[in-house]
Amino acid sequence: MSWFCTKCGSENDEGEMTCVVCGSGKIGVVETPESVKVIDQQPSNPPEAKIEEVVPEAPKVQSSPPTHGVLETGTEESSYLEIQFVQSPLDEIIGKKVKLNLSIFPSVSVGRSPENVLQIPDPSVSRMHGKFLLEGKDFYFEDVGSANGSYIFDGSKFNEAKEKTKVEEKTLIKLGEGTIVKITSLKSL
Amino acid sequence: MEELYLALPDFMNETIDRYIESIGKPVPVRKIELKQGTISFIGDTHGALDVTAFAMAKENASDLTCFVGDLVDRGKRQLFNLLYILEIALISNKVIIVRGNHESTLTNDVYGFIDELRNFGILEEVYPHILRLYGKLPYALHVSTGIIAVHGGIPRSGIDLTEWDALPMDDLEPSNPMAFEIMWNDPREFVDGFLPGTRGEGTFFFGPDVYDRFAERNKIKLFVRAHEVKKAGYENYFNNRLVSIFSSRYHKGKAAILRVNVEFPEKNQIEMIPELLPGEDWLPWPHP
Repeated sequence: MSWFCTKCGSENDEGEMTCVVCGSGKIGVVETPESVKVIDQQPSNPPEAKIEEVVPEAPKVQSSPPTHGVLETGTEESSYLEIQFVQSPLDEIIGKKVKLNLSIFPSVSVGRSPENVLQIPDPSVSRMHGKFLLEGKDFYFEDVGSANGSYIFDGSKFNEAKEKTKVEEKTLIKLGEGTIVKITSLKSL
Repeated sequence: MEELYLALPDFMNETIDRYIESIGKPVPVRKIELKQGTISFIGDTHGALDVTAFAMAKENASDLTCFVGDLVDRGKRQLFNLLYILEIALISNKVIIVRGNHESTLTNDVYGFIDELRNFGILEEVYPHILRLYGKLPYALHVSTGIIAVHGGIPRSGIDLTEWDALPMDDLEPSNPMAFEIMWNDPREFVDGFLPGTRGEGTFFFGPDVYDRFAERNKIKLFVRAHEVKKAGYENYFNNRLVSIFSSRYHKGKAAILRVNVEFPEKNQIEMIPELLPGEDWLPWPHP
């Protein structure tokens, strides 16, 4: 029996374990709790989060409660970080820019799961993958124990960011195996 | 019918060998002088013999048809797709095959072609001839009016096309990094220079600045490449000066053909291959 990808909606043959279009895992096989690293799971997660994963939805940046940081919407002066998707398994979001407001809460979560401020539709990205931080005047990226790692480009290659790493304009960050984002602008008040 | 043919691997080898002979002296960049006329480009077919057959009929009026690599692996009729293209190239004398990253020993074992040949029971007999063919296929087609077609993209070294002429042939992986990148690299709008790719070690993305340097140096007006699944069957990059074309069934996207008037490469046309009807294996023959 063929199955439909929960990320991009494509129909796949029964034998495929990942979506042939976007590479997302087959729900129920790849993403059974046993095969997911514990570190990815929220210990106190309500079951709703699970249900959300199964609902097919277009890739989008999820808005979240202000306690998790917020997406920039207003025109008020605020500290922000703007990122652009340089590479993604989903063609549709390549080139998209997202402005993250770090004035209200100086930490913005990044990951595959919808409860992140910045949701990344990429099966190689962990549910809770990393976070952007504002500390004083400086911005940082920190991996929060992702399965496939986060990498910062040094001008010739991507090096794994094992610790909190300072980011600046034009910093390129690879998340997991298939997503690369570029910091296009930032400002701290 | 297929079984009859399969009883005769020697016939298949003869087709492959005749094609190799017809290439003459193998060159890394196949250069074509064509001042007028039309060229049709077909992207990855990956065993989609229905697409190949339809495209050859539909593009019958073109002066040249170029398959931009990846004829085998993944799809339903890989060997027969390859043999069909070789035969029609020999018969029509107006088909050029550019080598893709699946015309390689690196991929055939993993993505299905070896399995298909093994299931037919002809792996040992036919595959050596196919490998010999891979080593003779050009990495690029260069048309005198400023059109270039490669499977992947621009390599980090080799911004000048004359450097490509020195690439070694009979390189089955290939192990030469420039040749490898020509077959594996991908264009990206928002990359500056080159950036390590997400396909694995040795692959790179190239940005619009690289394209500009390459196009200016080599007087390229249109860059045709394949290699990436496009849901729409194609995608334009760098202000329509690079077209990525995809013509396979396996990836569930649409299959497309690119038709280019060699005098005006920037005014190219996309021709969509119709979808297969549910349960059907073949497309109705196109009417002119």
